Amino acid sequence: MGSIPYSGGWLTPPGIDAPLVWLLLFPLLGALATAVLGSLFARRFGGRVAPALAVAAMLATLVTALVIFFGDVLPVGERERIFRQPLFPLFVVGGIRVAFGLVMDPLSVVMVLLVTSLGSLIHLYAAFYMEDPGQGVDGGKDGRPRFFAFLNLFVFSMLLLVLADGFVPLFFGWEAVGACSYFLIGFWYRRAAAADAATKAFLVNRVGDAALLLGISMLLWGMGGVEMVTGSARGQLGNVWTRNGPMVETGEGLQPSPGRQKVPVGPTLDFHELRDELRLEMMPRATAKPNPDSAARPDAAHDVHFRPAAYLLDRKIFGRLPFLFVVCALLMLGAAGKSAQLPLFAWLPDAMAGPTPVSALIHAATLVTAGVYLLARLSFLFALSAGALTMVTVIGTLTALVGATAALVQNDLKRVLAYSTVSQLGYMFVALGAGAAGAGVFHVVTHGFFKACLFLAAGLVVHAVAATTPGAGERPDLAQDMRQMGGLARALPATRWAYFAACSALAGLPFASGFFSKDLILTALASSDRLSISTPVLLAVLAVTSFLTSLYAFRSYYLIFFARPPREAAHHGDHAGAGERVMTAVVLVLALGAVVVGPALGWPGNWSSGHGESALPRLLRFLAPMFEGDWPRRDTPRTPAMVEWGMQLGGALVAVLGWAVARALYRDAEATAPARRRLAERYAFLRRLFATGWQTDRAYHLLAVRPALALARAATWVDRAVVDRAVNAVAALGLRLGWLAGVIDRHAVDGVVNGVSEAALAAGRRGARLQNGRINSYVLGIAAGIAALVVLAYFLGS
Amino acid sequence: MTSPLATLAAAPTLAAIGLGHFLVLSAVMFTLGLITAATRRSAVAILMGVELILNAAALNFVAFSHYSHGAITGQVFAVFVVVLAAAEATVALAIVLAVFRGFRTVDVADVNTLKG
Repeated sequence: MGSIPYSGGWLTPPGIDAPLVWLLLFPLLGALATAVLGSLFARRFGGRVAPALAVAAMLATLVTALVIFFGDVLPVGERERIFRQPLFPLFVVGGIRVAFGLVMDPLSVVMVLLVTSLGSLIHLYAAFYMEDPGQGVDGGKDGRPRFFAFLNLFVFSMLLLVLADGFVPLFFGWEAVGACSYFLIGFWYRRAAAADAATKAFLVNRVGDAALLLGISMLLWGMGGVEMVTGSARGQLGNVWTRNGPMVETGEGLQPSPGRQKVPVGPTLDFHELRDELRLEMMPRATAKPNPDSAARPDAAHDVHFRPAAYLLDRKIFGRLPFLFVVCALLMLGAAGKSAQLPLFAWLPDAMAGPTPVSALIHAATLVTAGVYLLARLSFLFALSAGALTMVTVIGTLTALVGATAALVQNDLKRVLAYSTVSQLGYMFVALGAGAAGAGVFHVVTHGFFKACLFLAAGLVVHAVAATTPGAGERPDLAQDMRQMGGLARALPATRWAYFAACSALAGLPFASGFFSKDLILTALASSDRLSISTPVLLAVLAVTSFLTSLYAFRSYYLIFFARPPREAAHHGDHAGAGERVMTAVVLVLALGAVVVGPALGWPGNWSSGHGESALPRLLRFLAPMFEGDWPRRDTPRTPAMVEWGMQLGGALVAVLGWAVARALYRDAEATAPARRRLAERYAFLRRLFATGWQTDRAYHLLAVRPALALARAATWVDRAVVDRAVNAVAALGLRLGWLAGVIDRHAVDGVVNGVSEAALAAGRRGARLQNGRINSYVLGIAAGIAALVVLAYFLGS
Repeated sequence: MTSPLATLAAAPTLAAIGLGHFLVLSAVMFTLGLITAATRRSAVAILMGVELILNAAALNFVAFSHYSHGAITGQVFAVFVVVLAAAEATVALAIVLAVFRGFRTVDVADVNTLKG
């Protein structure tokens, strides 16, 4: 597959032949095939056709992703790993050309690998988990074609989102993942809870999406101002200082060169163009030696004429409100909607009404990281505004705390994991706010593995509990209630160890993967000097959150697998079918991933002997070209080693402490029950506060639902009192007018008509008398007529 | 132009018979014919009235012709009228005969089948 030369890509080398499109086509075709063939052949080959097709499509996607990664991305030099593949032009508005294109760069490829690998595993798991997905709620119909088609479609949407080269394709993917999430949460649409949860997720996401759209539009508008201010159109001459040094357009694409080149400046919907425009300001003006090349060209800094970034920074709207901050706030609100941050997180716990594989794939591992991905993608923009960074950090910190406290007091296993996701996403936002987007993406990766593992293990647990708990078939929440569980360690040994591994990763026990990513985040926060809020306060909050995280993670672990006298597997274990074994294998693979991914990708710099760049954790080094141009530079290597050691030690201590407390409280739940009950009674109000996610639903009610209802009532009143009355008045007037018209019609118009006809009749009757049949009278008449004519002629004639 | 009444009034005073005399005679004949046609119930009698009217007209032709320029144009017309009257009488009498055959009467008051 050839790639088209892209005139807009003035920074990036010409594209590769990477079949990026196939990454999208496989899941898209898979979705179509699953939906159509899965239903068509269901009768002949049974209900397994749909899952088989979906899994095959996912495996094809995964293979494509791996081929691209190892064949195209890795062999290229570290700083040339940007492959852009424009597919087709979308529209041209003014000077803005919008194309539908894909891009493969370090950030995209990490997300693609995460989505495809987790997606494949979860598809495989779901193929066996959803043996009876209809569960009698789909009118007895096999729901599998629907389920797997949407699951594939979701993967397509997510890949479109992360591969999108520009805001427009990204927004397509953004909306599509939201729609797929809606369909899959409401998969059991006959259950009121599922349907409501789907609606809630969709509505809350709409708020975020509206903010995102507004933010994109405002950014476009704001950059439009640049053109007017400088009086220059796109294509104005300038000197670009890219990460490869000055670039020049040669016959064979852009090549590093000391010469000048054309720089488009103006509004754009393209990430890379936008970043490069903003980096025009990022030229090394203040610093003396930003780049080895500049030594030869000491005047390089003064070649920059246009400073869109400075313009954006200086710009104010509504009087004194910084424009850039408003744009970033809107974009962040959009990201918060998708990534379940304050104040838009309440949909995620409810989204657990969907099937467990959906929870694992969408609401833990991939979709919810879309917001994090967006902010990482736009880190060059957020880096400009200290206010925006502070806001992102604070929101992330608060979300982490709220999520952790809420997870602590849930009894529904899946809700624990959901709130845990909310909390972990908060950590990712903290990373983004601290200017350490790489650390945030790293946490996305580790979290994806351990949270998917937790969810799928929870699915196995729920299956096992549902099989032994009477009445769980009718009430899905019963089988998810952790108070019903306990003592499952012997019945589900593999699941237990997988769950334990994932729990340690979540809690951040030393050498577990969450430990590495969280440590990087905290280190970045501690060394951040761009935030206009005291970082020790945030660090303290996050330390408490880490403790709570460890506590709730191991609380769930002990409540599930211990807490009660050991249970024998009812008819699991012995009679575990092939499906059960495959699902367990998937969970174990994910657990392995959860264990391995952290140290493999994020071995801390201060533990290795390397210095500078080489000391960066591997994933961060891979991602570095994406973020290193951000201003101001926020590279981890500058962090004092002391801070890093401190964070690692503190994090480990807090995590172990949480584990210890959880073990003491919940391992033998029956023994500690009185103590726990006393605790619960003393802190009942806290418990209530936490259990409701700090009353977010009530806040929604007070702030959004009730005003909306009041508005609706007011509108109803206006409708009745004003509109209806006016309509009625008009109607009454119409009636009167009609009556009047009727009268006129009857008496005047009809009168005339009848009068004419009656006159004609009367004349006819009278005239008929002349025709008396007597010739004599005819003769007389003729004579009289002639006489009359003669007399007339005599008087009228000359 | 003198009025016909003036001419009539002047007629007795003239020694010679003039146009006025003819016209008065014609008018009397016409009136009698008209009265006959209008009042008589016998079809034959009505035909006789019509003959009178025709002859009154013929007389007028001759008188006007004679007293206007003395040519015989009027006489020619009078002959035409006589021929016409003969033809008319022939056709009319045939009709009357046919009517009599059908109705056994020539009273026009009874021949009213076409009356609506």
